Amino acid sequence: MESKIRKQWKMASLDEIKRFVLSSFTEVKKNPCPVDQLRRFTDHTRRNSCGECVICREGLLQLAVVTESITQGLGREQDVEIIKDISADLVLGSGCDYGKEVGRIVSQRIAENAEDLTRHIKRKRCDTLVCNKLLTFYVAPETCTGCSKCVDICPVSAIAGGDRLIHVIDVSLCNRCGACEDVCDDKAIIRAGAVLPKLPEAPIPAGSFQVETEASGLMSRKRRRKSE
Amino acid sequence: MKTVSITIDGHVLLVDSGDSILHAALKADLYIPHLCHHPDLPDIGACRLCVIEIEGVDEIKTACSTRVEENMVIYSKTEKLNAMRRLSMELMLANHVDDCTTCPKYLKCELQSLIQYLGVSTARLKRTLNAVPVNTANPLFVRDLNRCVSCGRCVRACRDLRGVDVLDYAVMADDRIMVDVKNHHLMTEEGCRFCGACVEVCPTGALQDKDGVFSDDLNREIGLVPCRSGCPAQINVPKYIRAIKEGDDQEAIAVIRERAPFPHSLGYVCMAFCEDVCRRKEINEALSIRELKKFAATQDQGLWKEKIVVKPNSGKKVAVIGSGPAGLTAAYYLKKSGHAVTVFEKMPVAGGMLTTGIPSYRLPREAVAAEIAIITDMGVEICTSTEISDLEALKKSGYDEILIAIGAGKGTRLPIDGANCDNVEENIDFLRKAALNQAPILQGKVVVLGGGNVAFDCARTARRLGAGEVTILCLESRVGMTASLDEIEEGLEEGIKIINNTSFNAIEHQGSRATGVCCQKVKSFNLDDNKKMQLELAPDSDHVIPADTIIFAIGQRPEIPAGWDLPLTPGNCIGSVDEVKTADKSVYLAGDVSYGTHSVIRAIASGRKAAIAMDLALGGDGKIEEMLSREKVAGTYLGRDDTFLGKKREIPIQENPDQRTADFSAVNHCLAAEEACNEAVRCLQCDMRVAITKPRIWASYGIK
Repeated sequence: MESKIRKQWKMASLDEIKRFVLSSFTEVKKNPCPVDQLRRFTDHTRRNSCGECVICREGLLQLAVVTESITQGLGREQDVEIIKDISADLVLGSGCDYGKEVGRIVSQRIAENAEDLTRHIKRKRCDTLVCNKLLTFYVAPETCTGCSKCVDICPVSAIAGGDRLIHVIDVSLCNRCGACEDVCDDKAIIRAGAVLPKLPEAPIPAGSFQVETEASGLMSRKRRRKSE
Repeated sequence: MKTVSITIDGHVLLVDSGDSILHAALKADLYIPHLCHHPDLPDIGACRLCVIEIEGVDEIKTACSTRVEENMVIYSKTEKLNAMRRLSMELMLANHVDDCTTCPKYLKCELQSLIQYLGVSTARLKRTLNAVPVNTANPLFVRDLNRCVSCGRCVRACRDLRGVDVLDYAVMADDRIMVDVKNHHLMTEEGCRFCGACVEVCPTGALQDKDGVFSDDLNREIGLVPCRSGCPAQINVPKYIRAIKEGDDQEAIAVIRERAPFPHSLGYVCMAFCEDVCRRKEINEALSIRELKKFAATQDQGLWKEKIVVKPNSGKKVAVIGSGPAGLTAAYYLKKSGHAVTVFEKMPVAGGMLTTGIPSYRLPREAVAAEIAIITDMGVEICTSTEISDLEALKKSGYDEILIAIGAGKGTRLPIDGANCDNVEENIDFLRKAALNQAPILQGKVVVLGGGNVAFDCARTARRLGAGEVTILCLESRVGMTASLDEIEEGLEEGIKIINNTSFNAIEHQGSRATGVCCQKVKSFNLDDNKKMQLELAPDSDHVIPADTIIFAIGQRPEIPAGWDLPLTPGNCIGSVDEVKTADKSVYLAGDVSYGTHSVIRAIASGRKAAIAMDLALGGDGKIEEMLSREKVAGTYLGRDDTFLGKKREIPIQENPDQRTADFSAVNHCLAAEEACNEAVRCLQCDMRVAITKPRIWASYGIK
C-alpha cells in the first residue's frame, strides 16, 4: 500500500484551515440537494482530518456515514439528532480549528435545511431529484429512439425494449443506479418524484407514442397534496 | 515546587503549579474519565473524555492538556460534559467490535471499564467497523485494528518514551486514519526494538502479545521477563546483561551471585531454560545468556563479597548430606543465616555431579573448585570420603536439622540378558571413574545405549579414553533425541556415530564378557498421554552390533542407603512435602533426590528453597535474599538502531574436533569482552516494560 500524506491541521493557521474548509464547501454547493451537499462535504472533510482527535476522526466519519445512508433512503429518525450532536460537539470540543470550522458549517446547514433533511428521512423524497435512491427513473417515450443502449447496460435488467421500440423501465425492478441515464445519448432517461406521467406499459415502436394532456398529472399532484 | 489552590467539583485542592488539571485531580483521588492519557506518556487531549469547564473560560478544555492556575474553579461532571463524553465514547465504540467476551483483554480492558462508567452502547450510532484481518505477520505481537480506538498511546510510547518511532497514525486505503507501522510496513522493516511498550500501554485488545510468549500465572514483574521466570533460580537476567553491555562486569557477576553461588559452573553447563523462552528467538536467535554468564564469571574480582551479609551465630547445627550444587547452595545460605554447617560427601572430592559426573572437557574442575572454595571460606565444613549409612546416628550426634542432597547417582541397567557382564558399564559409574582417573583405558568399539546428554557425556568421555570407535544407539529418531543440539553436534564432530530408531533386546556375550548388542529396528516410538512408552519394532530386523565395551546411559535415579528408613516414590526419590520438607520435621531434601534427575540450576533453586525452610524452622526469618548489585531500574529510552534486529548470536571459539579428543581440556572457550558486549546489545530488555506504570481503573478512585 502506498503511503498517503496525512494533513497536519494542528500546524496550520486559522486562515489556511478556513480557506480549505470553505473551498470544500463551495465545491459541494454546486449540488442542488442540501442533504447530498452535506454527504459530500462530510465525506470530503473526513478524508482530510488529521485523525488524532476522536470527535474529528470518528465524528466526521459518522456524519459521512449517516448522511450517506439518508441520501440512500435509509435515514432513521434519530439521525437528525445525531448530526446535531456531533456538529455541536465538533464546534465545542475539537482539538483544533479544522473540526470547529467543519462543525460550524454542518450545524448551520442543518439549521437552514431542516425540512429537506426530514423529507429525505421520513418521506424518502429528494425534491431536487439528486439522490438517486429517492426518485424514479423513466424513459421519455417521445424522445426515446429505441437504441437499446440502456437495455444493455442495466445491471438488473429492469428495462424492456427491443430494436426501434420505446424502452420501458420496470420501477419495481429498477435499483436507481443511474447507469441508463449516463449512457443515453438522447437524454431520454428522466428523473421524477413518486408521480410519473402516462407511459406505455410495454415497448411500442419508437415515435408512435401519443403525448397526453397534462390534466391527469395535475390532478394527481393535487391529490397528493391533500394527503400530505 | 510552588503550589496553587484549585477547586474541582467543589473539592478544594492544593496542587503543584506545573501539573495538568487531570494529573492534579487523579493524584487527589478524584477521578476524571480519560483514555488517551497514560501516566508515563505526554498528553495530547485526543480522546476528549477528560473534558472540563473552567469558570471564566468560554471554551471547553481537556484536563490532561490544561495546566492548573491559581484559584481555578473547575467542573468535570456537568450534564453538558457528560453528554460530550458519552458521544466521544459512542463514536469510538461505533468503530470497535462488540465481542468483549472473546477478547484476550476481557476484564483487563480500560475501554471496557469506561463503557461501564459512562453507560454507553453501540445502539444509537451507525456502525463504522473497519473489518480488517487480524495482523499476525509481525514477530511477538498481534495487531487487531478492529479493537483499536486510535488513542495513540502506542505511537507516543514508541516515539516519546522509547525514541524508536516505528508507529504513527496513517491514512488507510479508504482515507480513514488508523494507527499503523510507518509506511504500512512490518515492524521488523521499520526497526522495531520489540520492547513491548506499545502492547503494555494499549488500553484495549488492539495490541497483544502472541500466545505463549509470556505465562499468565506469574506476577507481572517476573512474568513479563521470560528469561527470569524461566530460570528455576529466577536470576535477574536482563539486569546482568545490561551491566555487561555497559562494561560493568563486576556489577553483572554481583547480579548473578544474588541468586546462585555457582555462576562459573553454570556458565559452562547450565541447561539455559532462559534461552528456550528468550523472546529474541522469534526474531533471529535467542540471546546467548549462558555464555554471557560465563563471561561475567571469568571477570569476577570478588567485589560483591563486600556486600554479603552474614547473620550472627545462631548456635544451631545443620548437617548436609551430599556436596553437589543443591547441598552446597543450601549450606552456603544456611551458613550466611548464622548456622554451623557440616557437609558430608562420600566421594573423595566435593562437588557432586559438578566434579564426578559432568566431564571436565565440559566443566573444568578449577572453575568448580574455586566456587566451592568460596563456600568453605565462608566457614562451611566439608567432610569428603564420608558416607552416611546411619541417618539416626547422625541425628543423634547433635545436628538440629539434616538436609539430604545426595542427588541421583545410580545408573540404570535394563534387565536384559547379558546386562551384568564385566565389560558393561553404567553411565554415572563410568563417568565417576573417568573423573577420578580410575577408568580403564578403552580399546576397540564402545557402544553407548541411550539418547540423552549423559549418553553423550559417556560417548565423548570414552572417545577421550582411547576408544577406537564410539557408537550411540537409541530408540528415538534424531529429532526425538533428548540430548541438546550442541551435544549432538559436538559429538558428531568428534566422530561419534549415532544410530537412531534402534532397540536393544539383549547383550550378546561369551561367558561374562559381552561381545555385542542384539538390536532390532524401531518402526515407531513415542510416549502416550500418560508418558508410557509406545514401541513398535520392525519384524525381521534383528542384527548384532559388535562391541568391546557397552555403557548403559538410559537414566539414573537416587541411590538411597539401605539403612535409611524413609518413604520412597516410584522413581526411588524420597517422598517430600513441597519438594523440600519430609514427614520427619528435622529432615529436609534438596536436588535430584527430591524430584529426580534434572539440572544444576534447578538443584541450586532447590537448595535455596531448602535453606529458607530450614532457616525458618531454626528460628531464623528465612530471608536469604541479598542485594549485591546496585538498585537500578531499567531505563525508558532505547533509541533507533538499524543494525539491532540483524545482529547474530555470538558463538565462542571451540577447540578443533581433531585435537580436542586427545585430553579432557575444555572444548568451549569464553566470549571475548567485545563479543560479550555485542551479544549483550542483542537483548530485547523485556524488563523495561515492567517499569511502565499500570494505569488505575476508575473504580479504584475515592471520588468518581
